[in-house]
Amino acid sequence: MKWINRIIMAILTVFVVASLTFFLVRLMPGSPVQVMYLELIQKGIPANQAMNQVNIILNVIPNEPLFQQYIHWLGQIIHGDMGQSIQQTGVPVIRLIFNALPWTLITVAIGLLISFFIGVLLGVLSAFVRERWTSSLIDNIGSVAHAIPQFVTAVALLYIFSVLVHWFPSSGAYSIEVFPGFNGPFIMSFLYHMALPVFTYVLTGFGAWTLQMKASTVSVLKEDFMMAARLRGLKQNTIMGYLGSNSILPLFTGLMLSLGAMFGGSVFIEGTYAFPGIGNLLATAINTRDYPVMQGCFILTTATIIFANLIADFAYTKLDPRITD
Amino acid sequence: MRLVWKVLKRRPSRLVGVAFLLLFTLMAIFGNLIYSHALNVDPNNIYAAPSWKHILGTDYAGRDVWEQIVRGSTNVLWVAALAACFTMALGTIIGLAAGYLGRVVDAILMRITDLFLTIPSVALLLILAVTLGMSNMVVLALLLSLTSWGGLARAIRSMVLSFRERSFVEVSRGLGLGRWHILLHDILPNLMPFVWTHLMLAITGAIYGEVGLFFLGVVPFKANNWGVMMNFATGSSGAMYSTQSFMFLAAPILAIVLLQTGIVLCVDAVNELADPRLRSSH
Amino acid sequence: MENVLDVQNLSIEFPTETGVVRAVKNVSFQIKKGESLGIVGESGSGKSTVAFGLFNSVPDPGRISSGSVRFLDGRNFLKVNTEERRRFYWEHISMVFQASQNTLNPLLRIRRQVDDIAEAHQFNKKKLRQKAQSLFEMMYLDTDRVMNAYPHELSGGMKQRVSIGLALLLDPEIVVLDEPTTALDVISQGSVLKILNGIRKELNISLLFITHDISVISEVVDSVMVMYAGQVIERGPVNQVMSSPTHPYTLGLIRSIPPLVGDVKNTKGISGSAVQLDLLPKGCPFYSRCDMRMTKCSEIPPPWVTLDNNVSVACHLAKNEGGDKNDRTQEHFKTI
Repeated sequence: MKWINRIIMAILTVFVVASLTFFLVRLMPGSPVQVMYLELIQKGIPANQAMNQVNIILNVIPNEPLFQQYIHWLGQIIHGDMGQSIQQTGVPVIRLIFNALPWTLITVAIGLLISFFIGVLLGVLSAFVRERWTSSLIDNIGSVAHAIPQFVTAVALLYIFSVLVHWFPSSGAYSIEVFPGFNGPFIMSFLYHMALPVFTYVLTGFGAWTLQMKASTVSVLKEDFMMAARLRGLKQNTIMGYLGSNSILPLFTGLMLSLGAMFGGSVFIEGTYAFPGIGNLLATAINTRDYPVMQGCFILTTATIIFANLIADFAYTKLDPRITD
Repeated sequence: MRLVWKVLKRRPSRLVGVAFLLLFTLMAIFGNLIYSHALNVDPNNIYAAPSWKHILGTDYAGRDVWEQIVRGSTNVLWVAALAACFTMALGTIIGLAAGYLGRVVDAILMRITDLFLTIPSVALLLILAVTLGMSNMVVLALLLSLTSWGGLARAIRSMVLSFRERSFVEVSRGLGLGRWHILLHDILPNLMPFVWTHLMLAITGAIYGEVGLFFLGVVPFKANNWGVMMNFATGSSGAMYSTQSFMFLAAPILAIVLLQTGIVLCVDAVNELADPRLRSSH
Repeated sequence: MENVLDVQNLSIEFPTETGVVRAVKNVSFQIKKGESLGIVGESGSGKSTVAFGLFNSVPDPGRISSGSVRFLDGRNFLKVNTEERRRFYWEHISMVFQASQNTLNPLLRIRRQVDDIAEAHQFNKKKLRQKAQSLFEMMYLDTDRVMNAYPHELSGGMKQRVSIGLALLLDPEIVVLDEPTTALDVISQGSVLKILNGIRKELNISLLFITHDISVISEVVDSVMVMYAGQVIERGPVNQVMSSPTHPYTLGLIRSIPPLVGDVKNTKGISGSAVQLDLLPKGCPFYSRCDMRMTKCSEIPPPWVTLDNNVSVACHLAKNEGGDKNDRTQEHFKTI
């Protein structure tokens, strides 16, 4: 029952976000709907035809009252129609997004896993080191890495690894010589191309995990059950298992929340590496004021994050016995 | 003042942090006074190597890079500080309200907070920047804070909820002191160490968002900003792909890295200064 | 009877920024098989540190500076290597902790934690589970439910009894109980102590109670040892110490117990604040708070005196011969 509620809440949240973007774009002075309509009229296209074209692209009939526009737009969205791109004439937004989303999902997921892994290791290390300066060095590296914006890291890495030493390609997700699909050359080429973006996610992401893991480990080390486990004569492995499971657990909630930050960062990272994911799509759409694409990207990434959170919450109840139902 | 020095010298990293921070603050305050004239464009001196005249060389139009960094710092720091203050105010007020004004307010405010926390803030920031348009730095700062108050509000709320159950608050309640009195005299002072520490982190967040917007070229108004420099360096000027122009690209990157490092290294010092309990434990 | 535990001159130090603090000073005591000893003292007296010293596992940054700890096997446990020490724990000496509520791993069911102990000490898992079940039964626990429960699903008193059950799992010769009842309400306290007494008689194991409340353990221990500022100041059979305490500090401890019946006004605290280990006088550690201090107390450490009622005490007042001394304590009691 609780989960049905949660799912309904998630769907409602997506709905609220979608509606917000609609009104945001529509109510602003110089609304793109009006602008596009007037442009078409000025080009000498008859009003009827112009209206029709605006409807295809933006899912809105310009001279209808706002509320009806909204209902109409919502209906289209529910049917999976997010309009067409203004820049790439005739291409449905939904197709652009579905072409871009897998690239981002894969790089973000790999980046997240690696940075989580490194962060957890360093965090445990920092909690365990005896010398204060080593642990404070790890902490400082963690917080500095976390504070440096993704685009700064991305530009620096691009300059070093692809402009100066030509180790990695500077753009794209795979080379033009390979054929996309489940084949060796393509996968190798993809891995090669995504190295720098993933490296950027890792460099900007591991710091936060290091700090969280350290705090968590330090507090678990102080717990009475750790002392008790030692005095029970449990094996070192078992004790480390107690420590690990209890200190990683609180980090899981953050794992999914960080997805939002990583998707946001993809705008900068993919923009810098010209990597054809959703962040790049959004960056391009914003620079060219391609409103339907912008809206589509925004709604879909938010929806992805909301449902990832839902799954994470569900998994968390399975992992932590203290949380019931 | 003596206390500040004592706390700072406890760890060398704090001194380094404060040094960076002071350097950039001085730059931001006095930069515009030193360089009050317009930037010199010198077509004969494009991508000059560093020299005494141009410490960091010149850019694609022969303008002094160091001068641009100094001018940019005013804008970067001013917007970041402003945005961080807005964020603190917004997050603290919403967190206090949610934690202290009862279940209904709490439920509503936390729904909204969760919404803002799940939406990718950079994407929201970009969409807001494009649709609302930004006419000046105050609006930019407001937008930045609008997308970043969620975490603070949530933390403040849970702290308020736990303080409400503590004995010192119960005692005040037992003494018949009013709700507002308890909020302002018993709860808020206990939150301040956290708020001050978070302020530093909010500044780094604001710098990230602000410079990022300029870097992507979404901000419509003209300003001296390191993001603009990076935008030109990686984009239209093509500086990215010629080794000659290394300084033009590296200068803003270094400036951002040093500034963020400075702030981050100061965080634990601020934490210790704001929280008397931490100080006495040493 | 042979000694299950023999501690000689145990000293434990904690380095601090201002210097080394000696939390435990030259503590010696023995426990015989089936005997029950209580260590009594206020917080900071070093009583818990002694317990961790027995395990050769003093919390950081403390370290054992001298002394020896010998169990039945006769070797100095402080010199035993880590792996042997690990195997020794729980099989020969086990512990029930001060906050036993938190000594169970919150993420594992009780039976898993029993399994972990079995695995660590190479016992048959199935047999040990059965053993645990019979122990839990002895403690009036709903065995099946407890075995399958996560710690948070049990009440504080239940968790305490589970901890005691776990402590008895491998038939140790000695169980250390660090404030085993402090976190419990009065009714659970009573039942836990009753259970412990029963088990002690049934299994003939030795118990070492550590507590700040002498009244709680007076029913379950044979003898007590009073500690102040890391030193033992008085020890003897519990009846003797309770009825005629010799050291002014012990007297104060007993006087501060509120009576079950009668007026609370009659209870008295000990004046002064708890001891600061780094600011002790050369002589008696209790000097600054003692009502009956003499000039020599601050300069000369009081010698150990064994009285004719089997009580030993470190106090200048106790120097007199037996009869005279008893009069003094009678006088103390009149002043109450």
